[in-house]
Amino acid sequence: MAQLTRDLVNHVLDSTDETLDTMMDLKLYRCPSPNDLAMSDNQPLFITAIIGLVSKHDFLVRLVLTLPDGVAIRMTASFLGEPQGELNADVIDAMKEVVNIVAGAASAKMPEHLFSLTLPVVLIGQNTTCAGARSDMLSIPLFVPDCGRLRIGLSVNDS
Amino acid sequence: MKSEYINPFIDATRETYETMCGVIPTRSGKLGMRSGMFATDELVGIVGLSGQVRGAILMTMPLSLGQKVVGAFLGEEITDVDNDLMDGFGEIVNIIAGSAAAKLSGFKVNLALPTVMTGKDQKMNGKSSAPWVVIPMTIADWGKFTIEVTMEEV
Repeated sequence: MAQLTRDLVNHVLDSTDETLDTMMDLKLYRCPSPNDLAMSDNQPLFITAIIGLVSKHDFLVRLVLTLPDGVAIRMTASFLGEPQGELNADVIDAMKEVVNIVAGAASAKMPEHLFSLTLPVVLIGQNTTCAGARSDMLSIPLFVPDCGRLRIGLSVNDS
Repeated sequence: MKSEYINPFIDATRETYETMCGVIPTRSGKLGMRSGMFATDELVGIVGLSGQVRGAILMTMPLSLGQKVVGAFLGEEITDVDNDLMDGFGEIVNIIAGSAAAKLSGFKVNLALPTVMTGKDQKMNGKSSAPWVVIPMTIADWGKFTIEVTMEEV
């Protein structure tokens, strides 16, 4: 399971990097310090996009993208090629699309596991806490210049 | 979404609460449909569905009701927002999803890992092409909650 988790982390990070580069012309960097998302935007409204990957080989993966609304708005503006003034349906749909593309690309890099994907779900809220029931969540802090900080959470568990 | 997809979730919810928590929830209103942005309660548990359908089941309720439900599930009093609450709530949603998936005849449905969220002023979003079907439920003397399902055939 440890090797699988390492492979997943690498493939998800590569897929996120490729997705942001291709779809938004944005560069992605790992954060060297512990990630405090609230530091990047003084707004307590968070967007959490969740997608599940189910392997035919009896294990489950949860991919969670968490980011402040300001970061999501700026990323969506790059995605759509037009300014986004506020948190709206376009921003939510863009974040759904990002996790869907990242999960699809990561699963394509691991074809031996025969992943199927769930529908992405997006929640918005203040002071949100996201818990990975049944397994711990590995949190990967990331940074996108001109947009801000975001975080990818990954959990792997036997089904 | 076809109506025959919904009954398994209602039956699974009743059975899970009766078996695991010792209470029997009942329907507390008509089914609803939600798309666009809509508010949820403070506690939200989600399990993704994959396989021959793509979707998700969600259970949302006020924090105080969640503490009662998980307390009954675990057999101990829950007063904080802690790992017991989050894990217990996720497990209840997972059991409901698993039971409903087994009742969905004609489909092979796989469950993803449950995720539990808490926060203030939480909102969700549903697409008009795959709206959330809302099943309002109530537990006598405890309070109201909703089960919500979105699904599309692959």
